[in-house]
Amino acid sequence: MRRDNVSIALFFTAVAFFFSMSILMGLFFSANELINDKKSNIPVYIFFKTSANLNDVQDQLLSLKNDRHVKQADIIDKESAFHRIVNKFSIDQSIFDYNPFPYSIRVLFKSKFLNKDFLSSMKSKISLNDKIDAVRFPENILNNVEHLHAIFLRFSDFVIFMLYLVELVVFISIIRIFYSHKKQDFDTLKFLGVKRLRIFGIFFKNTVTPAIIGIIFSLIIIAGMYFAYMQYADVFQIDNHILLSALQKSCVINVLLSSVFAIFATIFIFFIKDEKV
Amino acid sequence: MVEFIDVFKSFDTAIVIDGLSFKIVPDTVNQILGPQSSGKSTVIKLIYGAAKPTNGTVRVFDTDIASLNYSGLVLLRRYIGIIFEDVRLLRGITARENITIISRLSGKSVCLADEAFDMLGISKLSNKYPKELSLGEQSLVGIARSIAFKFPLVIADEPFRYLAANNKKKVLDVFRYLSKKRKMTFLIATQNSLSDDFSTFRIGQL
Repeated sequence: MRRDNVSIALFFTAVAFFFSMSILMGLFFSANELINDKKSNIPVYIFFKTSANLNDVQDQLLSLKNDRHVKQADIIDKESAFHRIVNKFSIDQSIFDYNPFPYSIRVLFKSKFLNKDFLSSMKSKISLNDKIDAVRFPENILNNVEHLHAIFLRFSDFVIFMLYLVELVVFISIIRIFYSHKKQDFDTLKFLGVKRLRIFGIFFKNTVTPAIIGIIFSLIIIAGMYFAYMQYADVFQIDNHILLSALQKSCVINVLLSSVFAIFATIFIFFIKDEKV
Repeated sequence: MVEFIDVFKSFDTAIVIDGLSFKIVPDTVNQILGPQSSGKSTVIKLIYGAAKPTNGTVRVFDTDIASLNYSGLVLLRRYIGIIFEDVRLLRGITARENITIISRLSGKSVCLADEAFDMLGISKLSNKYPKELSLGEQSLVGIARSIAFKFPLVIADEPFRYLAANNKKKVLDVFRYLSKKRKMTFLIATQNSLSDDFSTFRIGQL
């Protein structure tokens, strides 16, 4: 059967949406990962009492390292803390006749757990240890990052929702045009003794096939663009693994959604437009 | 084979067929004559179930069309060749594929495809697409489609509208030949009588 203009329109619609949505969602996913990465680098400091010895600190460190929420935990020993502060503020070491700094632990939590409530509950839990003097984290920075992250998520959800809605409406509109274009042929087939189910099969093949070909074509283009980017244009400050993972996620979502939209639009239009003539 | 018993058909307030009764003669060419807008197309549509009678009975192959559900109607259509007034070739496929696709989709075997094309003198058109054909040529392909399956009944709505006189004669000869040799029955809706030897039914005022 000759390919007609509506099939070509369906192909290009699938390509345009799949391509733009995958790139856009890839960028959103990457940005989200980037924010999460920044969040997970917000440190929590656990300061021990001066009476705490190295064994107490190492016990606490071991307990933290076994905690599934913790990404990384390191001891800052007394000497290193002393030198860091003395160098940072250019203080004359001779004014100290002893090292006033306690042991401390610097903890980084996994981003998916990191929020103010979680940190407050961790703080209470850790503070139960009577060798610990204080638990501190940069609350303002965390609040700002969380606020920014929440706005970003709402914005990206809204944009993606609207674009998917537009994609579905465009699919339905084009498939509706396609049905109207083919209605006389379908009715003729019915008059010649062909069952509606067979006609639906033809309609389904004619609408879903160009969409699937469009999706496969877009996947190839996106894969090509990714490898070209990795080879020649590694310009963004985004980790390659983050970018690859984001693109993979967005491609999988778009393969599923674009296929579902094409199939749903086909069934929907056939259901509402086709008549038992 | 086809029998109308006191059939009445109206669209809203317009009465199209008013108490029509006739019974076609099997294995012959029958014609139904009537002026424009007298309801000839409606008679043809009533036979293949595209329209339902408001009153009365339409029997095709001894089956009351009104008693059939949609699946039954589709099955019945597999035994009727239809020549449409507006030709209705499927676009995007060749003249020959217009025949083979019906076979593929409905499971009916094509008996006379080559013979039909030969008899109508359109073998050279078999690989052409409808848009490459004139209306007359499309009509001939539509006629070939209606006889290629050797249906026991062929109904035609103004089949000669787009045909030149020589092609009209050729088609009528083919209909005569098939009714005699292949025991096919034809019912042609037309404005003017095609031949005196055809069984004739009249509709509307002539």
